[in-house]
Amino acid sequence: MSRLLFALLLSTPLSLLAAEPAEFAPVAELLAGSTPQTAGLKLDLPSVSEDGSAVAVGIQFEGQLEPGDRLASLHLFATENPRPELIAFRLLSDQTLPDFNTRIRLNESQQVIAVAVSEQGHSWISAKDVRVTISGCLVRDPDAEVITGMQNPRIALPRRIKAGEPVELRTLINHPMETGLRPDADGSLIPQNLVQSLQLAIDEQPALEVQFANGTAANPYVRLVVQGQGKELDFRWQDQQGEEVVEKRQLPL
Amino acid sequence: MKNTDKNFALSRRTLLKGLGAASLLPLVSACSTNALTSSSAGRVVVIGGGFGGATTAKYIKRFNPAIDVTLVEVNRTFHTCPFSNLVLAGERKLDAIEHNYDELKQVYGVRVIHARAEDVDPVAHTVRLSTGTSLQYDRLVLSPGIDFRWNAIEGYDEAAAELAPHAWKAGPQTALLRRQLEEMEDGGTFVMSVPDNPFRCPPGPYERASLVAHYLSKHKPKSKILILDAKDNFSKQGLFTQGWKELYGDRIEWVSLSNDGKVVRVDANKLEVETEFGNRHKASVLNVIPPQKAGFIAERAGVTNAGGWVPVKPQTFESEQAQDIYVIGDASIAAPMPKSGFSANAQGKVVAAAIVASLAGFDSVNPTWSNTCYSLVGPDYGITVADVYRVEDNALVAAPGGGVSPLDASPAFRKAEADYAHGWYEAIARDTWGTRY
Repeated sequence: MSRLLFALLLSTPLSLLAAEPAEFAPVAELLAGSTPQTAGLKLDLPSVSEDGSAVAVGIQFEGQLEPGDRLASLHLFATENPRPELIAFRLLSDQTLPDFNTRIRLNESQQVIAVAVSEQGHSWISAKDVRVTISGCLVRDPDAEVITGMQNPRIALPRRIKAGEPVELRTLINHPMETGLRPDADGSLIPQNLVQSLQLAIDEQPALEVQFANGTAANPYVRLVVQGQGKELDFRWQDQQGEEVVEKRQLPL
Repeated sequence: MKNTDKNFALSRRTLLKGLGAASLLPLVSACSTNALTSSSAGRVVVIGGGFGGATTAKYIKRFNPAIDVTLVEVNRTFHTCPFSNLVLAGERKLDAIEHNYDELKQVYGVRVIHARAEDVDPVAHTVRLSTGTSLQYDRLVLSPGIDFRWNAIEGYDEAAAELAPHAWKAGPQTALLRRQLEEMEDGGTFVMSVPDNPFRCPPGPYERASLVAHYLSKHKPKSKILILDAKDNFSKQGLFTQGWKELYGDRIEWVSLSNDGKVVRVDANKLEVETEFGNRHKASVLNVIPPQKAGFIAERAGVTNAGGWVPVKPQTFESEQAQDIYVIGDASIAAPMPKSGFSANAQGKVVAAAIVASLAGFDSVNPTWSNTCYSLVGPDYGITVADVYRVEDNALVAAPGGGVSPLDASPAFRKAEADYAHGWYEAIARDTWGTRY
């Protein structure tokens, strides 16, 4: 085989060999027969991650919507996780921009698929292969403190806010996000225990619902961007037991 | 295989088998290099005189002295990051981690040019140096190490590094941080900012915290150490935290990513940092290990990816993006092999074999690599992680059987591992630069 041909074969991206992202069952279900556009949805992921337990990911919608249509939701899926759902963002008002960062779990090398869906049923798709190399160097601290509920909600506002300009917010809450698939030291499964959602209301109007899942990393982190028009921010995390943690902030407009 | 000479093929196989172990042991003399000598043996340029580059230059010459090898390294001498934390702790002098290129020049006949490599033309196969000279190559090896992403943390640039040193390239920065630690008042806080993966030497920050804690416990016993980390897990974490408790009580505090450990802003004049969720920490001595990327020349050669590192074919470490350019060491994406001096040395030997084979018109064989990361939790308290790596399905993977030091080991066990660490350092320094202790 010629050197060049061999080089070409070696460098063939995995995505060309894998099945079409739109045909992946949970994605196909979400698309409900619509044909997604392949331009307009930006998925930002490292090509190699050295720790699959928290992989930083960015998702941003840059496509064109038809007049009168608006973006309804953004979704992330992992093709080889035991449960493919990673996280979903439901845009409940125009106050929230389709631009998010979070941290996901990938249990092995696989494809991550991002999907955006509009209210009128248009859709966008983007996919990226990630190689996960679980480092043998990782030895967990056996004495590390274990938490079971929601603790330490954190919200970061920018130091300076310019009137009328988008505002970047960062949120995090400490929680183990137990998947229900992980054995404890005795080998029995630790029951599933997730933070289910983060809801944001701006001036008492629902603006965003983030739906967490098994594939969301422990201590759910969300970076989001809102229009700098509202003033009162109301953040509400809810876990599977129905517990709620509420944090309020004011934008210094 | 193009060559049909049976004897040749056999000796080559012996040679490459010896390499497969990629160990520090010198290759056995039965691995004759004479068989590979040919009249038009080829020109190799190696950029970077650290663990990866110096090893590659030496081993190409060992395998085939007829190949013309030029090593380009801007500095006259090289200071290793391994053992630089002992310098910070005052347990070793800076010149004890300094190495030169005399053996490469005098014993192996490598041409060493002390200049900065400024550009690479992968089509014309040339390298332009800061002296204005242009070097022609048949094969190019880049072992440029890391560069820093200045301003990835707001306020942390080259000027800030003179006030709040990174000391993540050894040499003057190591001396600066050592001086600051010596001048620190008793009762002060040593604050360290650690980046997210990937970065040079995964256990390095935690060894540094350990050895600084050793120095402080002896000389400034009221002082504290605060590690602000952009990760939730780190290399040999259980072993480090156990060692910290044993040796230093609660002197070292580690703040993880999800407890707001990620530093997003540095004020080097005030020695103050701010984390992701707005906490501010004031330091007496501030050590910022910034986010990193492949060394500058890799970018110039067009072999880096969007993440700033170099994808390579695992079999040979040849760039996925440019022919005849091989990239090793910290700059390359070799995960799960860590960015370590040991890895770079092992990769250098495999690349030397791959280049010698390809210049002679042969295919390269399936390599394996080994790596051990030694860390000192105290001068007499060593811990390790060791692994063997191989290629499976065109990806580098760790073979079964690697592992880390046990938890709850005896002081004698930890002391023995500390002794092995010193033995390792002396062996690899001799293998790479010919330094004798």
